[in-house]
Order: sequence, then structure tokens, then C-alpha cells
Amino acid sequence: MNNQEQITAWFRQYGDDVYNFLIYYTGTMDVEDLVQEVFMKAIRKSNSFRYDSSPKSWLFSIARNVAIDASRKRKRERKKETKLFLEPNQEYYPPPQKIYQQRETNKELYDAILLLKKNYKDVILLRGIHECSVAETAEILNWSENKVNVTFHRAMKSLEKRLGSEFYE
Amino acid sequence: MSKKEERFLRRLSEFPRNKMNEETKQRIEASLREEKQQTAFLAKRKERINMFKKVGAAVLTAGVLLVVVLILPNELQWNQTTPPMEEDRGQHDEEDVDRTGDDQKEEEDNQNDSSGENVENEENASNENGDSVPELNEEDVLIEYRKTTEAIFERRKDDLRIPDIDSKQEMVEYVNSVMSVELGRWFAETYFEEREDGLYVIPKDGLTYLEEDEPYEVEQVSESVYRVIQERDTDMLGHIKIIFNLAYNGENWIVDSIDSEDIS
Repeated sequence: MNNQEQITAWFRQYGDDVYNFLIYYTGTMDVEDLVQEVFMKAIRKSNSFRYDSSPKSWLFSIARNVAIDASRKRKRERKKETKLFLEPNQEYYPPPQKIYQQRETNKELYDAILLLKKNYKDVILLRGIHECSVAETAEILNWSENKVNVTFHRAMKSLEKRLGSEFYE
Repeated sequence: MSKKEERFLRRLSEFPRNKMNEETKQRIEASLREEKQQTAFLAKRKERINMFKKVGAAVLTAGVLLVVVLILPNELQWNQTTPPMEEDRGQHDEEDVDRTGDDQKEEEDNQNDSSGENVENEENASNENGDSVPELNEEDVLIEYRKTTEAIFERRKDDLRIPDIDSKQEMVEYVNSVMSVELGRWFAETYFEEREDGLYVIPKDGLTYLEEDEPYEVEQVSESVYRVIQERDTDMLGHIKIIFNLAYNGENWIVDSIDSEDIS
């Protein structure tokens, strides 16, 4: 099986993980096109995959870049709209209820996560919601494991401060 | 890991898992098959072009060698059989001088070519390393730079003391996730005063930040260095170009230095 065929196979294996990652990372449910973009990029970059890293981490790091690019593109479009005196889209899309449907308090928690600074958001989503290990998170974010631990700790403090008693529910 | 962290991670792991429906999966798989075919086609085409280039270069080299082999013995024979004439000597000398000049020029050209190769090699090297350089989001880097530095000033007490950061060195370490050590030192030296009981803010004009809503240009210097350039025309600064040099330090994209050019 060559690298490109391998990636098509990984789509079946990790497609849902990437889909779930993008939903939480972008705060919208409309991420199917981004999932497609992630795997297309993976096919184009298949030669750069290092077999000492896990496919899931590699795909998540591509997904994160795709999500950042998409957000940058949206910002540029908004700027153009503003220049043309059209009504700009909203900066912050309230996430659909499906994302946090199980518990009402999850709504406050997830909203607070989305408002965190990028480093904090990255580490909380990967370690918490996507259940990546410290090593996997370090690989995806290209950080040291120590930085993952320290940033996670600070992110948690920041959430605790923001949410108060809600944090412990 | 503390119990609180464990509890928090458990709570996050309870968030629902979203899955694509089968129809979407099949649609994406069809697109991936097309992409795979196209990528394979492009790779083959590239391979074929490279092969043609190699064959072309080989034919050209063989041609040049053939010409040299055919002409050189005749030239040598001619030189041996024809005695040099007195009146021609000066001309030959001139030709020699010219040739020497040409040789020098050729050498210079070769040097230029090889330095060109160096640049190319450096670029290749940086591309190889570049696989690990994450894509730059210049706005995020500069917003993070602004937020971090603004937050420091906001933390100051009424007497201008910064709590928790007691020395300039600690300040340099504190800001090193958003700026280079050199810029951090300048920041610490310019805006803070170290006293026995801690670090105090020197009240003065604040830092200059990117105005994200105003136009700016991004120039790539290399894979790990970018310049973000924004024009400003204010009473305080005059008409200037402010240049934020952003660099990847192996861990983060940071503000490496800030320059300005007067364009009034």
C-alpha cells in the first residue's frame, strides 16, 4: 500500500476524529468541507509523513492548520464586506447546542473555552475533549511536553477564574 | 496530575462525540480518489519532465565533448606546425590578455553560479527544516504580543509596582513566549525600573502595535521569517512605515524585532 492509499484508508479510521476535532475547534457543525480539505492536503503531503509519529496526531496538526486558514479567510472576507459597506458576518458564531447537548453546564464551559487565548484553547481541546496524551498534544502543537503541562495548568486556572463555581459542576 | 485536573479532564471527555453520516463519508472518499489520481498524474508528469531534462543535459554534454575531441587535436597540431610570427606576437599577447580577462570573467561567473547554488542549497535546507515550521498567522502572533504586554501594564498596582515579576530578567523570561530575548531586554529596559522591593513601571508612551483593521502587507523573508509592514500617519509618530519582524524560534512564532522607516 503506498502512502496515498494509506491516507484513504486512514480516512475510514480517523475521519470521525478529525470531524469531531474541527467541530470543537471552529465552534460550528459545518465542517465537512474542512474534513475533505484535511485529507486532500494529507494526500498531497503524504511523502512528508514520518512513520515515527502517529497518523492521528499528524492528521490533527493538518486539521488545526486548515481550521486556522479557514478562520483567516473568513476574516479577510469580512474585511472586504466592511469595505464594500455590506453588513459584516458575525465574528463569533454561537456554537450549536448539539456540541454540548449532554449537560447544560457544558454550554458555559464550552463557551468559555472558545473565548480562551489560542494556546489555552488548543491544549484544553486536545487534552480534554479529544483525549490526546501529553506526548500526542506536544506532537500536534509542536511544543515540548513540559510546555503542554504548564499551558494546560494555566488554561485550567484561567477557566476557573472565568467560570467561578460553574467550573466545579 | 492533580485530582482537580483529572476531574476536569473527565468532565471534558463527557462532551459528545460527533460523527459524519455515511453519505458524507462516501462523497469525501470519492473526492479523495480523484485527488489521488490527479496527484499521481502530476507526479508522473514531473518525473517525465525531469527525465527529459536529464536526457537533454546528457545529449548536450556528449555533443560538447565530441566537439572538443574533434577540434582539440587539430588545434594542437596547428600550433605545433605553425611557428609564431614576430609581428603576431603582440597580437597574441593581447589575445592572451583578453583570454585571461575572459577566464577571469568566466571564473567570476562560475563563482556567481556557485553562490547561486548556495542560495538554492540554503533554500532547500530551509525547506527541509521548514516541514516543522507551522504556518504563520501574523494577526494571532501580533495580537498575542499586544495582549501579553498590555496585560503586564494592567497588572500594575497603584504605586506602579508589577506584582509577581521582581526583576528585569524575570520580565524578559515572562515575555519570551511572544518576543525575542533581544526585544524582551529592550522592553524591560525601556519600560521598567528595578528597585529593591520589585519592578516598577516607568510611565511613558506605550508600545506600537499592529492595527489589525487597517491595511498591512506581509513579506516573506524566508520560511521562518516574515515582515509585517503597516503605514501610519499620526501626530505622535508622523508618517512612517512600521515593520514587525516575525520569526519562528523552534517553538512559537514570535515578534523578533520592530523597525520603523520615516516616509514623510
